Amino acid sequence: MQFTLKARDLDSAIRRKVEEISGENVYACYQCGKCSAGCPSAYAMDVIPSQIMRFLQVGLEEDLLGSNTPWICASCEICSVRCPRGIEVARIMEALRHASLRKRLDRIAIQGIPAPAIKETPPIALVSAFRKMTS
Amino acid sequence: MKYGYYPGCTLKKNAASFEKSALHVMKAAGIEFREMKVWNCCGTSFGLTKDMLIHQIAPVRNILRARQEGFDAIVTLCSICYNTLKRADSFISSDSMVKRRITGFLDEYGPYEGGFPVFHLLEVLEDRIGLGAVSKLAIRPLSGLRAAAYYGCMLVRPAELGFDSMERPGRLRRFLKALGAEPVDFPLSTECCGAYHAVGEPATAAEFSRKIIDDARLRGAEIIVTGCPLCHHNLDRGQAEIIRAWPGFNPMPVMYFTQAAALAFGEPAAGLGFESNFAPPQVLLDRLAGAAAGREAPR
Repeated sequence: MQFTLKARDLDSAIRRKVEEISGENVYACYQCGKCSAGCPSAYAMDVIPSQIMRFLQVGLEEDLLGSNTPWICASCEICSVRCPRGIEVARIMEALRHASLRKRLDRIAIQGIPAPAIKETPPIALVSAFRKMTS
Repeated sequence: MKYGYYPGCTLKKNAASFEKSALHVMKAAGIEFREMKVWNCCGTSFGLTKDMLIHQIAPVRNILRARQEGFDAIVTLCSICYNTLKRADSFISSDSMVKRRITGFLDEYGPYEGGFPVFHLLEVLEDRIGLGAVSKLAIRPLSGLRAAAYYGCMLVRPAELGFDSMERPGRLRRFLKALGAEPVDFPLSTECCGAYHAVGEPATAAEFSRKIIDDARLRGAEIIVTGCPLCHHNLDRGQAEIIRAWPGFNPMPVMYFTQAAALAFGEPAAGLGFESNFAPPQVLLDRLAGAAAGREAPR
């Protein structure tokens, strides 16, 4: 893959937004890959967590917002506690979710969940899912 | 110390067996506690955004209510409630601006500086009651039971707020040992169960849980013991979904640490809610029945 990196990409809107929501500094990442190595969801992600960090650094907004990664993340926070640079990667994922949710781009439709599933599923799962996947 | 018991939503619904067995264990262990008169949702998952303070209102309100009711500390059963309450408190304690805005919003409860103690029941049992006392209460020890101690995420992360080492916790293992069981160490004991993916991505949640169960089985476990109602749901009820993807999958019983303790303390299994399990802990129940028959035989 070849792409041209321009100075303005390093100050992208998506990077600023994610840093503002998460309170994290994406430039602290030096691409060691430990977040991706420990992530239990990485196998199902189209962009793995360490790549997300790189994409943020170089401002690849479409690739970031188009990926399934923040929605496959389960907020288990293994990445955050293992990052040698002290980046809370789980907060970055939350910020990416919010970047969509604050535009009312919900990931799940509450009306689409069948009634028996709602009955069977513990409230802790339902409310958490709504907190993470709906605006 | 007077503990305010904070149940949280799921203990009153799907995890009624967790609550019932825990109440029995707390009474048997002599813990001075009462359920909080008024409580609301803990927030269900700690708000990871820095700019949305509204997410911290629900947990902080619960803490302020516990203080108002005259308790010295909160005790939780659900690992997520534990995490959310403790973390929200730490968050407001660490930032004076945040503290002012949140306590200002919750002005009806008066000034609050942060630092109200929040414990998980496992902490209270080990640190206040003592595992020696727990052992003495275990009149029907779970001898020979190879139990995998499964923590999940929210009891041990983040490191500075977890109740034990984040990579290699031992509280549940030591507790099971005090009950007479043979705890099994397994590498995935702090791996995520799939959490809220049970709602929108059930196949993903099932894959998380399958790896955990298979890992525990590989290390010789015959049962998995947990302290989280969401982990219990994914690991136990989630097995129906696992079997859809992996037809050869053998069910693995999953139980709460309080159910294990109640059994060891002599409670009859019939009242402990195992009938709602996808995979009932038959291996344990049969063994306890066998041991009881053995004890009665010489008479």
